[in-house]
Amino acid sequence: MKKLWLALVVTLAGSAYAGQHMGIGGEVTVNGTVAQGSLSGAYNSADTTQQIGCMLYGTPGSPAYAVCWATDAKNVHMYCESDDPAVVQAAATVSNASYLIFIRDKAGQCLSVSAYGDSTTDLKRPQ
Amino acid sequence: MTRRGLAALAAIAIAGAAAGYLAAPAPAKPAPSGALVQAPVTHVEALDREALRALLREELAALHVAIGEPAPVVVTPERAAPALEREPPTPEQDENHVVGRALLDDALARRSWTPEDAGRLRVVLASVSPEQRRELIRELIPALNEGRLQPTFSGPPF
Repeated sequence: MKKLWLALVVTLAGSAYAGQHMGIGGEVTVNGTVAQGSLSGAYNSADTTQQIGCMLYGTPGSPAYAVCWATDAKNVHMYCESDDPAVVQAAATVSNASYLIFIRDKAGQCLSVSAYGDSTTDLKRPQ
Repeated sequence: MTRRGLAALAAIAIAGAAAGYLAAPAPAKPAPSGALVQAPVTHVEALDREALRALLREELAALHVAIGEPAPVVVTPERAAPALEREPPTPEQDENHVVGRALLDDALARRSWTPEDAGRLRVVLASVSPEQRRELIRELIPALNEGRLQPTFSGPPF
């Protein structure tokens, strides 16, 4: 009986220390004009389809462009682009540890880019 | 009560009334649009300022009528800022733009966007004018989102 209690305590402690995770498995989802997922979740996913990220494109003398893209497990793609400085700045903060959410309008322009970087986002596991 | 005592009592009453008048809050009124935030003012100061503003308005209106000028227009920074000069594309940029357009048209006809297309467009985008670049990107992205172009790969579109 003592061992049973000890096992229960260890189990509960283990789940408490596991920490809160954003997005189940960090999988990439594309839902209409909203795409989200963690970069590391996509990297760690079992399939080879999921992907999410942003790139910055700059040339001298013209505004920088941010382009974000996502592909979910069902191979649904979504893209947005913007040369708005606020969007470019947000896209520039995306890192391997980010949970990324971006929203587009009908013309494919980014309405928002949100990059969350905190303890709830996944970390890449070594392959 | 002595005469001196009566005088002191009257002085205190007058001072109290004046203090109450000055300390009374000014009646609430909406702030004029674009007005700076002002420190609280006493009722007397507010009256003086209002009177001064009214006087200035009257004088300025009379001046404009006298010299036959319309009332001045407030110029915001946006109005004052000159429009950005856009340089026309060079012949070389025009040539590269034609290549980019042909690339997109070809892909739209095939209804697919391949890594090779992405690589070629990346080169084109580096050698066109900013306006031409914007036009090409803003044609590509909606086509990908709407399925008119089916990407054969995951990742950045160029």
